[in-house]
Amino acid sequence: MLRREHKVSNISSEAIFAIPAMKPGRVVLAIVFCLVLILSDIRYETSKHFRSYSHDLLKPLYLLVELPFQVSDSIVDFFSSREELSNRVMSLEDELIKLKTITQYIENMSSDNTELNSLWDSAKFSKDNYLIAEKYSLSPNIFQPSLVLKISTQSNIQKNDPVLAETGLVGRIKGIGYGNAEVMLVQDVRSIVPVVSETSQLQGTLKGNGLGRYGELQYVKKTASFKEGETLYTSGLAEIFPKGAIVGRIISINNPIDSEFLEVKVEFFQSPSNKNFFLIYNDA
Amino acid sequence: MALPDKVGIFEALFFGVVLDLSTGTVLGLHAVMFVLITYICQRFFYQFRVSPIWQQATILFFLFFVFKQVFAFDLYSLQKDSSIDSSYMLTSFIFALSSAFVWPLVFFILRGYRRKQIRY
Repeated sequence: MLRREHKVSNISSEAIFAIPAMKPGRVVLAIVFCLVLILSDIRYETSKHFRSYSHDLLKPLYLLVELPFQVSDSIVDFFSSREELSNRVMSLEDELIKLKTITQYIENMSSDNTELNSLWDSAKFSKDNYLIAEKYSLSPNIFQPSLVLKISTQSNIQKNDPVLAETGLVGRIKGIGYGNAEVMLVQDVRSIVPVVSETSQLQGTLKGNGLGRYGELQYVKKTASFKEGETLYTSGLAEIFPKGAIVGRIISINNPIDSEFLEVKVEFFQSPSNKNFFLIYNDA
Repeated sequence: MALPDKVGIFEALFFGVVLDLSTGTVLGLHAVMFVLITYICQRFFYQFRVSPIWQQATILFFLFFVFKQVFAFDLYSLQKDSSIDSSYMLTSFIFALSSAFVWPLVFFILRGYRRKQIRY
């Protein structure tokens, strides 16, 4: 800014000095209103009833935000060569094969475990129970990331249905709108997933710490024999997530002196940032 | 800051709630922050508006840094605030710094638009 622009004579022509001050009463009222919203949302989860529908209302805004990216994608697609397009088709086919393999793998696992009558006896995996949903948006909020998926209006999706991707658990359905479903990710600070470790077969609850951050196993006694590098699967204890979905891997185990519990950090296998398609599991 | 008579508490409240709904944060958190920032801007805009651009950017740096810290508090379990660690502090610092650097560009674009398009 030039020095001369600071002079009152240069800015007073815009008549800013005639503006009355904001009334403190209104500000206090607005803050009280916001605090009521915050407390009611934390205590009674009031927003869950209309949050998903708000995504439907905000659809034009999302489309507007997406428009520049779509335009640039169209231009790139237009000028891309036939070879690039065929490569893209190939990669999509690879992705499809991967999805089929995963489904097949889960089916095989289900049948094996039924025969063994072991941990998996109550799991009802079938490819008919899965719906493929495309990513609509992912909020940049680190601690309470909100993944919104496009769903068909006729789909039989319900709240708390687990959401999976190629290599493990992504989260669970938190709210359903007309054409979208909001997912609470396992990385969310509000998310708690009952898990069981692969080799030591110990149970625990895995709490999210935010997107791109390690999760934490809660209330692990110091006598527990978890091992670094162990894979964690869902235990199915809360009956929200199906048994046996891969969640993450133990990265580090610390023994803090000032705590009666171990500090177990877990790396999540899935990050929704670079995925476009997800599987919604519905056993209804 | 430039048009405090045109944008006030209700606009801040509305856009805050919309942002809360779209980003998945606790309902009212963005709103209360926006209301506070709007009040601060409206209360001090005489001083803020005539200060040099680098001072404005410095103030914005601190505002954005505090803004980012507020969202790190785990409001669902207040036993600990483990969300704020060194990596998050660094992310917040970079976020605030980049916002402060971008401010001069935003300022001049908005001022240009206002002087051309908005009539008093």
